[in-house]
Amino acid sequence: MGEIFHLFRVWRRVAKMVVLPDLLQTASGLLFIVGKLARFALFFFFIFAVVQKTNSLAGYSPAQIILFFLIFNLIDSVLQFFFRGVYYFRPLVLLGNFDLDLLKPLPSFFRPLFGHPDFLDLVTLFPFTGVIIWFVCKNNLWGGWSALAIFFLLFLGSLLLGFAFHLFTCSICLLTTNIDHLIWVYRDLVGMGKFPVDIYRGAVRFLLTFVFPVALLVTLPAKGLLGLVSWPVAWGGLAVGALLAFLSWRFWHFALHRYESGGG
Amino acid sequence: MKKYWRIAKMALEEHLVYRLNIFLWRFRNVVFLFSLIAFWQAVFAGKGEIFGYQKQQLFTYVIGASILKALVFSSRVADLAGMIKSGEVVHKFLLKPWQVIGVFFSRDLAVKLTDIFFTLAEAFVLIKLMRLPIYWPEERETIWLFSLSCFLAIFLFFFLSFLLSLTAFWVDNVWAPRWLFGAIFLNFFAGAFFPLDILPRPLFQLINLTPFPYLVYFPLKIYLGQLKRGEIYQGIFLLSFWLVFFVLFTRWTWQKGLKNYSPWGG
Repeated sequence: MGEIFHLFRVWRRVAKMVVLPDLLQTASGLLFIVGKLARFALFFFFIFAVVQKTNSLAGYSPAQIILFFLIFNLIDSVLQFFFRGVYYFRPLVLLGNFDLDLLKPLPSFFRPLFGHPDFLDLVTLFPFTGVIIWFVCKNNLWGGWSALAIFFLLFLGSLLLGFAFHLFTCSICLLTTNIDHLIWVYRDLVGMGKFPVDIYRGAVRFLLTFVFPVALLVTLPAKGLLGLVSWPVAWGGLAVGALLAFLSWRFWHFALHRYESGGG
Repeated sequence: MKKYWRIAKMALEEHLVYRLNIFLWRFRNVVFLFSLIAFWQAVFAGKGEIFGYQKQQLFTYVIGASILKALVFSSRVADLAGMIKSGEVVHKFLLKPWQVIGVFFSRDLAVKLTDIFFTLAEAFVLIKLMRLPIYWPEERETIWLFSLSCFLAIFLFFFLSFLLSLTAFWVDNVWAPRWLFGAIFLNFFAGAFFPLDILPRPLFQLINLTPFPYLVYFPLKIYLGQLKRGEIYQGIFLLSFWLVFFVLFTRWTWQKGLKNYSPWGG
């Protein structure tokens, strides 16, 4: 436990150092935030316009469909905030700077994953959370305290899954020095979770549930908040997240053993 | 002309050299298109028409938007901003016997060629696999007008994108405005995600005042036969107006930028 607090203190220091250059480029930062919020608003208008015309989508009411979209934005932003460092990992490997990180008294995955938190995503989290609370209250989607507890449990599972996916991508980067498109493939697959995976048919739904578990990452927490998930399923979701995080961590060590360093 | 042909050929070879990247990039395209189609399939379940679009028309719009994105948006003009920042623009363009616009347009043509090839193949597979109904216009004139609007849209996008890259003459960070341009203006305001007329009326009218709907939405509306002849001619006139405006504005900005320019060591 003490080590986790120590890592948190290091992360806080790193985060402070990362945010300072961002604050120097206020115009760019503002453009990014405006862009992210505008994209969110336009998507919201689009989904709102569509679900207004349809009484239900894959068995969900229009309000529930919109909630799935809102929860997707929340989870995606949290994951981007924590794991944005992955986007900066390839240059670290190519230039050999990652070797220097391996000499530091930190877990080997610390810098690749947590070395560059994105504060622009943190800023957007506040309006997203506000909109979710307002929307849930306005549309009577509140599933009770038990549903909220299940949501947080599944949210924790999503964070573990996010950790697993991003670490897996970094491992591939160590093995192939290629990461750019792979991380975007991940983003696109997660993007399919803007809507509940129930709208997809047969094999695709199976793939999104069991192979690349977008269902676990995004759909299940939203269902939890709606009171549609039982406790055993929620614990199961968390266990799967923990298992995938462990497997990804093992794969990372496998990749690390094959890493030839900057001069290799 | 020969040198531009050679540049296009080199750009094509360069574009195809990293095969894993190409595979992942195309895979992303398929995932995006597939999820959009699946969404609309769920929306259309048990319905014949929505927002004034029949099933056949809407799926044609989705597939058509994907093809037009490859035709219109595929470009390497974004590289220009980096070249201006690094000073490469001097020895790559200013000291060589060719026009910067000609070089970038040749490179764009090569990229568009490969993108169109892949997109058509992917669209064909998805149409067959998902059994999508596709609309084919009956009148030959519609095809001509659609082709003309696509042709003009290619140039309009080129000059818009070129102009955006030229901001590198004055600002340090071009990445932010370019991201905004791609994520918001191209994907949403151009109608690349969904037909713009499903948005609330005031928002739709506001977007219509910009040049972006002429890149994807307007050509597809012509193709789908949802515009009257008068509306088509008016649209083509406005598209031509925007094109002339951005050609002149780009030329002016390029001249101004060069006067302002001082690369490293300058």
